[in-house]
Amino acid sequence: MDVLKTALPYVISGISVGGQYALIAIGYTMVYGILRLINFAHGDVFMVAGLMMVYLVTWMPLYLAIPLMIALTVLLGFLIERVAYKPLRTAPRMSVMISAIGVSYFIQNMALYVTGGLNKNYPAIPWISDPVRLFGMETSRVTVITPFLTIALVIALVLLINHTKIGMAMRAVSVDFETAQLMGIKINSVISATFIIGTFLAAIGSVLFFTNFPGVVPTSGAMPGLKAFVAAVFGGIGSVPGAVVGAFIIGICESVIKGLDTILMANGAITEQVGFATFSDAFTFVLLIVILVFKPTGLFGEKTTDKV
Amino acid sequence: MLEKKKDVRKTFISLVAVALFLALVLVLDQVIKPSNKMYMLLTVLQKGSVYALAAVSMNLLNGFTGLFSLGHAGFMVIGAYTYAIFSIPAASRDTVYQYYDAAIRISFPEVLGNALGGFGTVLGVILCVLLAGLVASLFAYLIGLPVLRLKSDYLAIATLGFAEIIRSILQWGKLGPVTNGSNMLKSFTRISNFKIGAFSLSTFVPVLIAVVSIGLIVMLVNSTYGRAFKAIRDDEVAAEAMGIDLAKHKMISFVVSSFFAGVSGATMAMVLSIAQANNYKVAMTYEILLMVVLGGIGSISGSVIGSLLFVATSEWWLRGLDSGKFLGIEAPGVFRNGFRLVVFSIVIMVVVLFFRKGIMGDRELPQVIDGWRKKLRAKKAAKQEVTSE
Amino acid sequence: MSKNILSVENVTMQFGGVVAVDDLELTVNEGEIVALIGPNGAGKTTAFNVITGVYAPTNGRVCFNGTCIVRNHPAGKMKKLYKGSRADMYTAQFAPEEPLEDEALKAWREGQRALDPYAFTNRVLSPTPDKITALGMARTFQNIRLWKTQTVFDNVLIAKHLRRTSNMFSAAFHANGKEEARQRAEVLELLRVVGLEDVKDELATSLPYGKQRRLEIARALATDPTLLLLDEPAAGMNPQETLELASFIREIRDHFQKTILLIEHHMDLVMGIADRIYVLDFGKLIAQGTPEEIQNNARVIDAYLGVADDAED
Repeated sequence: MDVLKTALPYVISGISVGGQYALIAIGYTMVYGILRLINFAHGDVFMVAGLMMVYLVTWMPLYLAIPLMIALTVLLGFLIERVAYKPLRTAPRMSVMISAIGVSYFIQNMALYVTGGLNKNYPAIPWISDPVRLFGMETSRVTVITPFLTIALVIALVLLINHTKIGMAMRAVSVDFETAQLMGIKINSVISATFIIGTFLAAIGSVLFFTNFPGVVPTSGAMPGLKAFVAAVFGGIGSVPGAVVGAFIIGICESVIKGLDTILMANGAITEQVGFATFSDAFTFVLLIVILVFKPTGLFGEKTTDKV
Repeated sequence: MLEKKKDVRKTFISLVAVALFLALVLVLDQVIKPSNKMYMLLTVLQKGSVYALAAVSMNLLNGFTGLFSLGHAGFMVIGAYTYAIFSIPAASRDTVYQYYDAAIRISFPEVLGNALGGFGTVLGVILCVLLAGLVASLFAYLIGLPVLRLKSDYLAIATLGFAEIIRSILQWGKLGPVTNGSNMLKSFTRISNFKIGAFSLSTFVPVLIAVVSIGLIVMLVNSTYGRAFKAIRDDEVAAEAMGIDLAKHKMISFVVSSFFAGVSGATMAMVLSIAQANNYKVAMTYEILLMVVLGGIGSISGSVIGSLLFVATSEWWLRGLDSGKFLGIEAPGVFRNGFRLVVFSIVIMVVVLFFRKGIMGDRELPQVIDGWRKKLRAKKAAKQEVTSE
Repeated sequence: MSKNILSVENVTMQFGGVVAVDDLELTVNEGEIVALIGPNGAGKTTAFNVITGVYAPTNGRVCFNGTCIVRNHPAGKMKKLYKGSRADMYTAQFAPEEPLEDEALKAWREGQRALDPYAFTNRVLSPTPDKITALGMARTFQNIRLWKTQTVFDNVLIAKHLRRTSNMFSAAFHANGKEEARQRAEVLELLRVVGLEDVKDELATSLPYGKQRRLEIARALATDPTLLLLDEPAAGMNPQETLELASFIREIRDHFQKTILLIEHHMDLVMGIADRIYVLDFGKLIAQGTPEEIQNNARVIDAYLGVADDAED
C-alpha cells in the first residue's frame, strides 16, 4: 500500500530514535524509582557524552576514544549524584529537584563556554554510519542496529535486576527506602550503581543518537532528555520495560508526525502543508498530559496509596 | 490596639520607601544617558523589574502554595505576545507580518491615543498589559483543570509540557495571521516610546508595573487567602480537613500567579522591544526558579532581591569574566564568552547546596530589619550596663 | 430522645483484598462522648477517614444531622456479593435482616426512602473532606498535623477561613475588615479558653507536645463544628497529661456544647469520659455499650484488654 510505503522511512527512523530515547529513559526511570527524583541533568549528561567524543577523537583513535568517553561519562554521572543529590537526601523533594535543575543549568553553561557557542560535529564512526539498503530505501547502519542493541541491553539489564544481588537490592530500595537501609543494604552503593548503569546506557545512546544527528550543541540534550522522561512516565515510572515501550512509541509517533505532511500529501489526503512538523516536539507533551490525566501510573505502572 | 498602630506605621514606612525608590528611578532615567558608564544600571533595573515580577509570581505558586509548577515561561510568552499583538501600530502591521495577512489589526495605544491624546496612549498601554495578564490566566485556568490534582513531580513535568506546547503553537505557521508564526513581533509600543516630551520614562514604566503588581501580590499573600495557601503548602491534608477547598484554592493561586506571569511577559516585550517565542524556553523558567531559590522560597522581598542580584550579576558585574579582564586580573584565555555564566551557575549550585534557605529564608525584609534593630538595641543595652558599673 | 447527630450504616471499606472496615454501624447522639476503641490496625482511623470523606466507602452510608452525606453502592470486590438473587439490593445500602416477601419488602423500601432520598438510585455521594467540615464535622489527626511555619494564632485563624464570606478580591484589598476583626477576636477568645493565649505568637512547632495536641483541638473547634472527631488525642501522653486531657474534653462538651466521637487506646481516658463505647477488631464491630458493659465483655477482653485487669489491685 502506498501509505505504508511513504510512511515506512519515518517509521523506521522512528524505531531507531525510539531506541536511543529508550537508552536515556532507562536512566530516568531507574533513578526515579529509587530516589523519587526527576534527574533533570540526565539529558545534559547525554549531551556531554556527545561533546566528549567530539574532543577525544582529536587526541586519540576511535577504538580508544569510545571506551574512554563511556568511562568519563559514567564518572560524571557518579560525581553528580555524590555532589549534588546525596547531600540533599533528607531535604524536601523540591530542593533536590532544584539541585538537579541547577546541575543542568551548570552543565549547559559549561558546554557553551567550552565550545564557544559553535556547533560541533560528531565524528563519523565507521561501520555503524555506513549506508545500507533496507526495504528498498537508503538508511545508515546505525538505524538498523539501534533497536537490536537497545533490546539486547534492556534484556541484560532486566536479567541483572531480577537475578543478581545488586538487582534485588535495587528492587528493595525502590519499594521502601528506609526499610531497605534497616535490612543492611548499603544504600550509597545501590544508588551509585543505579546512576552508573543509567549513565552507561545514556553514553551508548549518545553514540547511536549523534551518529544519526551529528550536530552537537549545549542544548542537544534538553529535548531528548525531556522526551525520554516523558517516555518513562508514559510507560510507568520505575518500570524499565515500560520506559522502553514508551520510548519506542514516542520515537515512532514523533517521526511519523514530522513526515505527516509529506505522507498525507503523497497520498492525496491533503493538498497543502498543514505544518505538522512544528508539533512533533509538542506531541510528546500532549501524550504526557493525556497519560497523566487518564492513567497517571503509566501503562505498566503500579498504584500507590497514601496513608492519612 | 497597640498592634494595629504598629502595623499602620509599618505599612506607612513601606509605602514611603517605595515612593522614594520610584522617585529615584525617575531621576536616574533623566540623568543617565547611554554614553554614561552607569548605563547598565538602567538595563538592570528594566530587566530586573521583569524578572522580579516573574520571580514573585512564581514564588506565589511554588513557594507559598507549594505547587511545583515549571510552566512559567509559557504564561510569560502568552503575555508577551498578547501585549505585542495589540500594540503594533496600523502603519507597521503589514511590515511586521510580512508573510501573513495579519488578522488582528487593532492597536489599543494607537486607537486610544488618537482619541484622547497622551493620556489615551497610556490607557492603551495599561489595557494591553491587563489583557496580557488576562489571556495568560485564561490559559492557566484551562490547563489547571486537569493538571492541578497531580502530585508535585508530575505537576512539574505536566506544566513544563504545556509550556512547550504553547511555545510550539505560537510558532505554528497556520496561526501566522495572529502570531506571525516563527517570525518575531516588533515595532509595538516599547520603553523607548515612553516619554513625555524630553522627559524619559523608559525605566520608570517597567519598574512601576512591577512595583504595583508585586504590591497586589503582597496584599493577597497577607490576606486570609494567603494564609490558606500557606496551609495548603504546609499540610494539605490538614488544610482540607479544616474546610479549605483544595481544588478551588490551588486554582486561584495558579490563575493569579499566571496573570502576573503574563504581565511580566508583557513587560519583557516592552523592555526587549521584540517578542519571540524561542526566547521563552524552559531555560527561562529554570532561571526564574533559581532566582526564587536564591532569594528564599516563601519570601517576596527575597524574590525581588534575588532576581535583582541575578540580573545585576549575570548581565553587569560579571561582564568582565566574558571580556578578558575581571577585578584587575587579565586572562583573556579563560575570561572569554560564556565564562560569567559558568561562574554564575557555580554560585547558584553553592547556594542550592549550602544555603538552601536562600538569602531571606522565609522572612520578609521588614522582619529582617526588625531583627537587626533588636540586636542593635541589645548591644546598646549591654554596653550601657558595662559603662554604668 | 436526644437528636441523632451521626449515623454510620453498613459502612465497609476495602482496599483491594484487605477489608479494613467490615459492615460498621455506629450512632452518636447530641451531647454524647462516644469512643471507638480496638487493637492497633482494627480499622478505627479508616472509619474516621470514611466518615470525614477522605475515603469513599466500598459500601454503606453516613448520615449527619439527619441528612445522608456519604453513600456508595457496593464497589470493587463487593460487587460480586450482589449478583444473582441479591441483584436488586445493589443500590440499597443494606439488605433487611431476613429476606422479605412482597408487601413487607415494599414497606421496607418505603421506609428506606423516607430516611434517604437517594435510596435505590445510582446516586453516589462522595464529598471531599472540606465539604464535610463545612457541614459541621471537624477532626484531629493521630500524628499531629499542625501547619509548621505558622504561629499558634494563625493555625487557629486559618481554620476560620472556610467561614469567610469575602472573595479573593475583597480579601486582598482588605475590604473585609469587619469580618477579619471579628474572626481574630474569636480566635483570641478561643485561645484564652483553651489556655494557649500566652503562646499565641509562638511557632506552632515550638510548643510542647501536650500543648500542640490542645492547639490541634482548638483549631478543629475554630471551624465551628457540631461534631468533633478526635483521633487518639492522648497518644504519647503521660497519666497526668491524660487526666488533664480528659477534663479538657469534658469541658469542650459542656462549655462549647459539642458532640464528640473519639478514637483512643488509653483505657483510663476512655472509661473515664465516654458515655458509650464501640469496639472494633479486624474491622468488625465486636461489642458496644456503656463502659461497664464493655469492661466485662469477654470478647473484648479477649481481643484487646488481654488478661484480667492488673489495675484492680
